[in-house]
Amino acid sequence: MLKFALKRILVSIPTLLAIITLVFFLVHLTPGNPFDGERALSPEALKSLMEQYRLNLPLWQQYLLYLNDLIHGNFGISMKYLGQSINNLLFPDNMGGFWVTLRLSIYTMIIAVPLGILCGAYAGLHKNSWFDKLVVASNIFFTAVPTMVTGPLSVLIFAVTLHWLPAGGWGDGDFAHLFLPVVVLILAYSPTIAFVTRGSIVDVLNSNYIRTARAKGLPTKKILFKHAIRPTLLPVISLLGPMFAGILVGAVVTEQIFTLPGLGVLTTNAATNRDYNMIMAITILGSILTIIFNIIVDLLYMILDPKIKQ
Amino acid sequence: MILKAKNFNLDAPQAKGFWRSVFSRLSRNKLAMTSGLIIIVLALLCAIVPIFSSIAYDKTNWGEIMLAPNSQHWFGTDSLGRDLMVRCFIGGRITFAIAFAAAFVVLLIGIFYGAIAGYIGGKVDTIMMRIVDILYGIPFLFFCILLITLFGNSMALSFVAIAAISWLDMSRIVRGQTLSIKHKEYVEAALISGVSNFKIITRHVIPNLLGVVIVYAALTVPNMIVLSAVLSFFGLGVTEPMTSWGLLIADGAQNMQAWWLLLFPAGLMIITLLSFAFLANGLRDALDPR
Repeated sequence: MLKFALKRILVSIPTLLAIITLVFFLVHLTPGNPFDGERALSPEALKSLMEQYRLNLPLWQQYLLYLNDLIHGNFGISMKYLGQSINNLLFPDNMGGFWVTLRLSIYTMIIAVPLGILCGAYAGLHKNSWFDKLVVASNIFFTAVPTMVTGPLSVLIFAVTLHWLPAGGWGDGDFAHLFLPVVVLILAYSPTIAFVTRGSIVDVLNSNYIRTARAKGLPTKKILFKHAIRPTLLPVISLLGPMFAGILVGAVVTEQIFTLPGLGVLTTNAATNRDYNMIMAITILGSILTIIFNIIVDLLYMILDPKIKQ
Repeated sequence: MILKAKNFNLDAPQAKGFWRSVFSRLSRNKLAMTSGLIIIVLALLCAIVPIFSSIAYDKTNWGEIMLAPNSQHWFGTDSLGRDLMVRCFIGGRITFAIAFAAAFVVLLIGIFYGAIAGYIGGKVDTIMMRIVDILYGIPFLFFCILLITLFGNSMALSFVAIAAISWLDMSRIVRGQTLSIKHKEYVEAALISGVSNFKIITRHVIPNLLGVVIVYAALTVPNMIVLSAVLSFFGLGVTEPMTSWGLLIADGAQNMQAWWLLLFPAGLMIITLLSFAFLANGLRDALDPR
């Protein structure tokens, strides 16, 4: 188990390094420098700026220094807010920035996964019931229609028309302000989880060993929780890896809709101000999170599926 | 003597029958056919309405700001007094154009990349798929935004950026299919009769992938619609006075008291996305009758 985990972590290091290298050289080999668009800078000011951002050094030195910074958990300096450390902007003490996005993603995961599994299992056990049809239909609808449509519509209905909830903003991260964004995100992802669980449980219940268990006269409860639960969960778990990256990005989009002060705002500002360092930092942070989550999913998969252990 | 492939007609003789039966299965699927019809009608409206409308899409009219839908402006007007219906359809035009163009590029890259990796196999395959794995590790919205920031915010570039990173799924699917086609007898026969690798890929492998590709294309277009719309929320992609559905929805989300600004573009988008979903479902059932 520990060996597998270590191996899995070691394998993902070259992937991360490749991503960092790709992003770094993409940014630095593109012609033009980020201060081109600024109002005319005096040559001395430009020179000192270039020095501050190490742009005067040869590229390979910049690259190695950047890697060194990253290893020490330092994402460099923002190019928009001159001299401001990106770490302070990404991880502010007032719990904004990345923490907002992370909170949204985690709440979504915590609620959407069990909810999806429960609904999917119930639908699969009661095939062709009205609930089953609801699960199938909501999967079609919410897979097709993204948060950027359902989000504003939910604001229009529940905030502007019915006045039940605030239309946006963070408040203090209180329940009322979080409710709509999280519900919108849950609706975007749990129908897929439910649909996969439903298909999986139908397959498992039709398999030979479940028939054998039935033939032996085991009680239904025991069949479900002892024999059916593990193989049912496997396809769901493998769905979660790619889904997390989706939720992270989905959270960022949702922030834009509900004007929450998370990574979304930082991304927009960085894009409009051509703050390369910031976008690099956000891209790399996102990649790190995706990779970490994939490792967790792989470990979970291994725990549930003894066949993978050599 | 080595027999040259061009002496033979290697096309599968029953090919015509296959596509005919696919079409007859599809035409019996009412939901898919209706969806296809809706997409065609919407695309036609997007092409025609802006031409025949008496109001230009960027014509501001200070006397008619934020009018609710009425007999003259069926969808109402926006904060600059522009007619929303014309804007919806011209925005739809841009949205469809970006989505179809991006989907085309995605399919082209994905098919060739996947077919080459799957067909050649061995080390080349390992390296090519490793590259795909690495690109998968990047949350692609951020990567997209990075590319657009780097290369400037123009419509053409934004769709190149979208396409450049969306071919990953396609290449994986195509690779898997190619691996299974590779060992079919007709490919081995072509190989023995001296047909070049490139020709086998373009003549035998890719045509046989067509089924998967068509289904995936029907899924890629709506994905591209969504992605280009999402970029609008970050102020990227299409810029004023030109518009797109994404931009209209983003605009509507900021002017909630005028419900029509949100409801019409969002409604059009929902109809389009659902139609593509049902069409893709129907195509899958028609192409692969289990």
